[in-house]
Amino acid sequence: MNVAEAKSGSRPANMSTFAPDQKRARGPGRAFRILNTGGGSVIPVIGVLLLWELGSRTGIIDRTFFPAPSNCFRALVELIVGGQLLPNLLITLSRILLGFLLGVIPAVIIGVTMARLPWVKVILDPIIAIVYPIPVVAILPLLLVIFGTGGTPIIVLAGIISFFPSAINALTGVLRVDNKLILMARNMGASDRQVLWKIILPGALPSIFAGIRLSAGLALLGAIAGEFLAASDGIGSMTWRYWQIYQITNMYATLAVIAAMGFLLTTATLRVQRRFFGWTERAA
Amino acid sequence: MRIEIDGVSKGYATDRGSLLPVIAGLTGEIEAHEFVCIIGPSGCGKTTLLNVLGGLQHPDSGELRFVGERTAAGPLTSIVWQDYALIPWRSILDNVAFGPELRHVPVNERHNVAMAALATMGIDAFAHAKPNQLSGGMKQRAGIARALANDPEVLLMDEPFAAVDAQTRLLLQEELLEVWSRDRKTVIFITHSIEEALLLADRVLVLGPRPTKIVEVLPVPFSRPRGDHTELDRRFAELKSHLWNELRNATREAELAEARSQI
Repeated sequence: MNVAEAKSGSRPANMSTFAPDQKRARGPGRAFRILNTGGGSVIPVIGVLLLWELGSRTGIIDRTFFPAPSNCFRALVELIVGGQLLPNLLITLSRILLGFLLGVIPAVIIGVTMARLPWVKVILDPIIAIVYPIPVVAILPLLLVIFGTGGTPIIVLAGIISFFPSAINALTGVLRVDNKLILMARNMGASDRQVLWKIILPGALPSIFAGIRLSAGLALLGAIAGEFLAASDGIGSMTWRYWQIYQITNMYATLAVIAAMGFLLTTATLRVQRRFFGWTERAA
Repeated sequence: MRIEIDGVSKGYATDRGSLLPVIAGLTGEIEAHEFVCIIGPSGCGKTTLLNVLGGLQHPDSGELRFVGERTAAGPLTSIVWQDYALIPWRSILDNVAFGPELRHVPVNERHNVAMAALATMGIDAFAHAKPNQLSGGMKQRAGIARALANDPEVLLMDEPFAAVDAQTRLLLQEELLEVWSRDRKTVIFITHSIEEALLLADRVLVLGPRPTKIVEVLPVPFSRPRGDHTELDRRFAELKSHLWNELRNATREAELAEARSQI
């Protein structure tokens, strides 16, 4: 028998008496709840878009700068059908992914090593303390000098920018693992390796993953910022170009794609976090 | 196995760089299959002694010997912790199977061992729960089951019932006595409670204030099986009063020493 089952088993008897009241208190019924999935309700978003549409069509807001969302959507469809969008989207996605991996993999290894080996921390702490506050976009010219033009400096930029949160979270995550658990494992006969893989890394994993989430968002930011300034392909460069040649509906269409990438990234990683690291929330 | 503690000393480096002695030349013996309770004033170094016995710290001087033939499959000692030290992301089953897992016992086999230990403690129904779903008493039953499943030569128990409520504590004491009577593993049980020591132990070792050593060894005369009737024995009150007289001065000294070190 399972404890969770036992708990839920006792509930339905009480529930049935309360159910009608609860339904009334909820107000909008099923239709609302269907929309109310994932990252919160989409109703306010639709509301803003509707107001925007109305304002733009009636001329209350300047339609040169705020063209109606329906027009932007049409532009988006045309960009997709015309074949400009998808190749550029793939380029951007590959830059985000490569930059992300380039930043996060060494970050986690370095963060864990810093936490486990004091002399590594002594060496790297001041370096990170100096480099971290620099707005990383400011080093893009340097990266262009080193790596030339093309995709490489953008990938490196995304990598550097996504390095720090993962490294710092890995460091603090490992340092915060309950020392009692480490003593327990040692007393039970665990080797150093077993302590690392069975206690320290799983214990630090929620923190490490939270850092990786932040890094994913920053990799997106780094890649788009890099493409704005130093690329001739990719979604970011499309957005920038459409602004320069004043194709505002196209600019909004590509912006919407960037926003969707960010949204999907955030909600997907949040779901993973809730699914696998629920124990940290309950333990707190 | 028989444990010989031979002039063990252990100290800590303070912030000022001097060595603060915690245990000073502690000597004593624990027989195989004996249930020994260690009692002493607060902050006297009981936990340090436990860490030394559990192999987590090495003595600065002196020697700790485990004498005799190995009879158990597991390590020399397993500690039952006051605050349980259960791994929060693992099920109770996988917590209890942790010792065999460290020795690379295949998963089916170690789950069988763990289920048997959980059944011994009467909590096999909660094998698939997570630690934070259980009460303190249930967690400590799991903590004891984990130590049993690890099959050590010696069980070290560090005030294991100090964090549970008074009635659960009585239950756990009875259950521990019942479980212990089956195979009589050597137990070293640290406690603050004089009654608990008298109820559980074959002998009570009384520690003095820091730097600590054994100031008295008290054989407990009550026959087993013990239970709530044990406290009705006339000698129980006498021994309790005797131990408290022993501890009262030591506790006061420890408090004064603590206060002096703060000034």
